Amino acid sequence: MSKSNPRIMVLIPAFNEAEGLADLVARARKSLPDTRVVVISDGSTDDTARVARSAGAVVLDLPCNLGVGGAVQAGFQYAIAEGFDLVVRMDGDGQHPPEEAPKLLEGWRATRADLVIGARFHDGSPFQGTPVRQAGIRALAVFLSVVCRTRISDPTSGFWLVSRPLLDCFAREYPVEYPEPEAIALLRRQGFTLAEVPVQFHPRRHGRSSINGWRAIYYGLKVGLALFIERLRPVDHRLSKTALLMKMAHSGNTTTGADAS
Amino acid sequence: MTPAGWRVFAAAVGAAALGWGLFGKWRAARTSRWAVGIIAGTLVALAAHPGWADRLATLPHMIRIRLIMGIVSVLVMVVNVEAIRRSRLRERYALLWIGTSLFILAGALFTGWLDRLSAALGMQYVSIIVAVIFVFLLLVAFQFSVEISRLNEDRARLARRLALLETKWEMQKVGPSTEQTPADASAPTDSRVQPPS
Repeated sequence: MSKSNPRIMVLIPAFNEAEGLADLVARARKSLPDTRVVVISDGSTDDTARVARSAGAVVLDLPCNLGVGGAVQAGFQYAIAEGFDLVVRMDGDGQHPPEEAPKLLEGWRATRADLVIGARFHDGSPFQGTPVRQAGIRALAVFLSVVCRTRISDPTSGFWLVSRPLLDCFAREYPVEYPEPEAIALLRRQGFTLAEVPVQFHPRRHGRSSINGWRAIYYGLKVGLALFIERLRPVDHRLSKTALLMKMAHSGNTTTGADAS
Repeated sequence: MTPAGWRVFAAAVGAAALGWGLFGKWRAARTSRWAVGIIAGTLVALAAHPGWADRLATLPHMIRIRLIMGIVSVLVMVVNVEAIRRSRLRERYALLWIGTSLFILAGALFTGWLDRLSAALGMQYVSIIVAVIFVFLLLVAFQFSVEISRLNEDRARLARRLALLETKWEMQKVGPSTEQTPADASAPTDSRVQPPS
């Protein structure tokens, strides 16, 4: 990645987000010119794919619902196959404003971190919702900060910039449901670095958080169990930062993006 | 074989398992090696001092059942954690198992609430036969869980590959930045799989 101008791709996973997606794609193309906007329609049953295509995005229309993690992973594999250097990932529901994406890019230029997280900066606190939910997210943040030895204030944000050797790692291994906290622990284990940039989130435009009620309990149990077991896993040396960097140096850009396992 | 012969046999098996657990490279799986080490240690201890088995036989019936249930539930938990660690089982399916084993463990540790429940329902405490059948059912159902995880992974892999190929094909036909593609008309909502839960 010695090029001065990295090739950037905007990745938007969307499940039944036809409403508002055209606007989002247009804004993404305006605020990040010379990028390719890729929408992953995660088995949507509405017009998501058609709307995104006519707004000028490249669409991966998945034939069945894989969950956010599976959809995002498809996007990562596409980015590698098409030779992109950076991926900016934002939600399809409009809570990650594309106008803030250049801040992620600035953060990457300043730190050269493998992952730049856009941390929500709302009234000085990323924690919103019920007290239980706030406590849960706070506990996640503390746990991941200790594990990564870096301050992580918003572990559930999906407003990310992912750069190249990490992209190869995520293309092969990425959690399926509620992937963000686990992915952070995974990248730490494989020797990658991360940085946080404060950004302004929009309040959700339509729909509510999908994580409420019983889902919230499931979220807590699932992510807690996954993070506990993550601590028992050894480093996968084939997917470590040094191994992937060496592979890139040897083979130029011939990674296929296919599942290698 | 004589009792002494069994003791020598158990000691040999135990020592071999212990060596494997401690020094063997069993896919570098740390928790499996611990489990093997604990089993091996138990075998060696039993071989060295068979009086343990006799003492176990003199324990009250209830205590023995509780011991067995406790050991089973801990084993279920260890197997689940190990399966997730090796990416053979998704957390989604493991949660039910771990919940069940916690339930059994609670029954083994604290009998008060179980007594009250059995009195309320008018049933006897689970017999050892039921427990054995239960263990087998656990094993079978566990295998199903692993299979479901594997099938899900295959399905996801296929879907990703298909979407990548479809996009490539369309771009070769009409170029990357056109507004409409012919495939749109033929891709309405047909037999889409609904999202889980």
